[in-house]
Amino acid sequence: MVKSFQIFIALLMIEISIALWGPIAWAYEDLTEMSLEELLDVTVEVASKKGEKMSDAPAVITVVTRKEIDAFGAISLVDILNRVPSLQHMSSHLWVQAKPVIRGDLIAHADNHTLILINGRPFRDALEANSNFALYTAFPLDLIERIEIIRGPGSVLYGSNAIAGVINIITRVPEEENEARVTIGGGSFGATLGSATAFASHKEWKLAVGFNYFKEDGWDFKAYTNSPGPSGGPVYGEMKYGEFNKGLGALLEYKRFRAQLYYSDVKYDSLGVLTSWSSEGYVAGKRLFVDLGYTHPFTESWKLNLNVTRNSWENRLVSQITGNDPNSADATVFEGSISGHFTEDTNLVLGGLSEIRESKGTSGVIPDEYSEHHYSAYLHVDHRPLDPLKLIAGAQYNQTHSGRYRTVPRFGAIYDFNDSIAVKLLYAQAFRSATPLEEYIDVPNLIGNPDLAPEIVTTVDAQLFVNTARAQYTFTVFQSHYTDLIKRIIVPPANQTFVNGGEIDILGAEFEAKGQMSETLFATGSITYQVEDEKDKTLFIPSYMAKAGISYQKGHWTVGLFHSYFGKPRENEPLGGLTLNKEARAINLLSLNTTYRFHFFRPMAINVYGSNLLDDDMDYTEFSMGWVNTLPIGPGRAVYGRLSVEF
Amino acid sequence: MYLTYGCRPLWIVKFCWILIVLWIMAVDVLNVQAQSQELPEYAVKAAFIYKFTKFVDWPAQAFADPKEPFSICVLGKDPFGNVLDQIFSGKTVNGREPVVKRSNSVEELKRCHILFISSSEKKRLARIIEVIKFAGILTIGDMDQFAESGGIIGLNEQDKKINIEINVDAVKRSDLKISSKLLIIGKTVSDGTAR
Repeated sequence: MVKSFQIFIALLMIEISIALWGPIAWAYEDLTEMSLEELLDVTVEVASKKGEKMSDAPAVITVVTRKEIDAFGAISLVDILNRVPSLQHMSSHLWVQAKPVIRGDLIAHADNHTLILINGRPFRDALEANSNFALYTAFPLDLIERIEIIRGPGSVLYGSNAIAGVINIITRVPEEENEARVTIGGGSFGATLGSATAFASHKEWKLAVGFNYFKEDGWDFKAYTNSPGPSGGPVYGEMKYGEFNKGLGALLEYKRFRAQLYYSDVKYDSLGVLTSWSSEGYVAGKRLFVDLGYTHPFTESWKLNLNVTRNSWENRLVSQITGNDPNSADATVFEGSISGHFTEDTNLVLGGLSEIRESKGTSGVIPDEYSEHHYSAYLHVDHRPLDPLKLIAGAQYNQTHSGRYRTVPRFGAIYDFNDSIAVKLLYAQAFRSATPLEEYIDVPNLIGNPDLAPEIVTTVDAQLFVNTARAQYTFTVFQSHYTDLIKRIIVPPANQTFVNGGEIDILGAEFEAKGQMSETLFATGSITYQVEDEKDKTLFIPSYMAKAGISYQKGHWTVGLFHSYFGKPRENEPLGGLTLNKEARAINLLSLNTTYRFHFFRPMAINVYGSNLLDDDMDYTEFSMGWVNTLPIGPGRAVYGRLSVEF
Repeated sequence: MYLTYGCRPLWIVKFCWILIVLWIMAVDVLNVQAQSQELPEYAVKAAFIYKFTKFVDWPAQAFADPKEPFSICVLGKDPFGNVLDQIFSGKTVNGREPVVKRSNSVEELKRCHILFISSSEKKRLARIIEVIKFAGILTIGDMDQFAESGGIIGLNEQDKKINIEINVDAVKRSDLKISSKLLIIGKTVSDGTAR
């Protein structure tokens, strides 16, 4: 495997060289030899529509387009995210398919280091900041226009949790023609699935609605675990990891107003709160996200944005040892910002927000009511002192309910050598406020700490961005330094609590390539090298990831093949010495997507999508509790068939 | 037995890696040879600018002396990068050495022979045109309604092809002579201000 990986890298380096210098050197000479008539017949690639914004953006960004989603296929966001450079979607013993790990940030099994946005608005729960599984497996994919993934800090504009990255889901806005689509299907592990989407517009009203349904009896989860604790003897068990997910998304626009909604009801089987068969059960979660927005243009150059965003959250951990453990909380964000430009060369965003996190004492782990007020103010400025040079500066001031405050800055410079080549140098900090769970939890042996400071990450990125006639290439090196991490400590004799402490350094390099190679062929690929600083060695992450996909689209047919390789993660040393499960290993996920479109009374499509076609075992180092060596984190080979009808 | 390794078809994995990369390489290399591929918008526009020098005659007074270089200038935010420089590199224009200049000041560019007015100057286009309209300068732009607004040649992208619009009134004002071939190929427009 290592040898083939080396061959892959070598071939890619050759490819980069050809891509960089071949078309550039060739094109200009030949163009001047053409006649005027021939020049008029040349098809041009319009620069403003291709990559220019990405190279100009003050962050390291990957954009997954609607076209890529259709080409490579997916059952849920989990499939899509696993194809993104430097991202591995992770499961723990409790949270299944619930954590996108970006750039090796597997510091905890809680999903609170990646901020999810829906059309730029925060999808963040008010108890654990950890319940995004209700989105990953239930969001209606047909609603998505594109997904923007920022690797690295994003707190200056987006606030808490944007530590390892930001995932912004941009939904489709209806065009002039009304359209609707209904899809039904089924597949492996007893899966039944369906979706319905509708897009309508009338005068200045625009409406998009999508519903997604997925039910699966489940794949076989088999493992030895300890019982009842790390020193207990090994107990072998098997269970079906099933799912039942429903998601509803909607967007309504009228003139300068926009309303959006996402509701999901997700239930999945899980080993539970311990890596022990004694906690076997299921997790059920509901999320309601509502955002109301208004944009007021003062002038051609300046506008005011106002938003109210509410995230309501409820989940239950159901097992023999937890009983029916319900938790719920709400978060409401009031935000206003002004954005615009003084000149063509200077842009500014200035904003502020107030967030209220509250619970009415309905959480099983937090018996008392709470209501917290957090405040933030942010400023972003970019300026071009020279035509090819863009300078970026920004900061967010954040004050928690306990009076703690912190300002996180970012600075950057982007230099365009020419239309084809640019470099970025970025420095940014981001933070994660302590969650109410970490502050107020009151259960046997674990007491919260209301005086926790935010976790902080400081990241430096350097990126080379290359645009050729048909493709984009980026090469990025990064280093992230985490401080004030919130971790558990034991308070003698037997209690635990949370404190700030510990530092982690992660560094790495990323290469990404993407291009429309011809009218019918699209190709994309990435390689990631990531490593934790030698002195730490606390993270159970792979050193390498490599991903590549090709798709073919012509006439009635679309075929997409994608392969994601995740290297072998670092092994743990189980507390109880239990190493009876399979060793941690590299994971190869190969997917094939085939769609045939035809007309039979109505426009229709048949789709067959296969995931993990190599039937690779997904045994990953148990990274959360450390009682056993590994646990399975995902299913084997699965094939799904779908039929779509358009109206 | 459950807890033993199964046989994994690793050869498929290796094969996929190599196949995919070879395929991408082959397609990209083939694209270099392809005649019908898409080319960067501003590389094509720069080639048009070079070609225009073959179909336009500048008045003698546009040059101070026989050795004065031929100046191709960009006013405002430069969308070409170094493409213009590369297009004109190693060539001559009517026996003169071409020089590419860039500035945000109209005054600094009044001795240019070709002036590309960037879209960033849209708001002050009328004032720019007023300053240079009799100066023997071939004004070129790609902002909307450039030729109709008083510029001489507009390069407009439509359906991924570049169209040429020529403002005949602006040509008359400028003392430039434009070949009939260019007038036939381009679409002629008027701003209704011919003197």
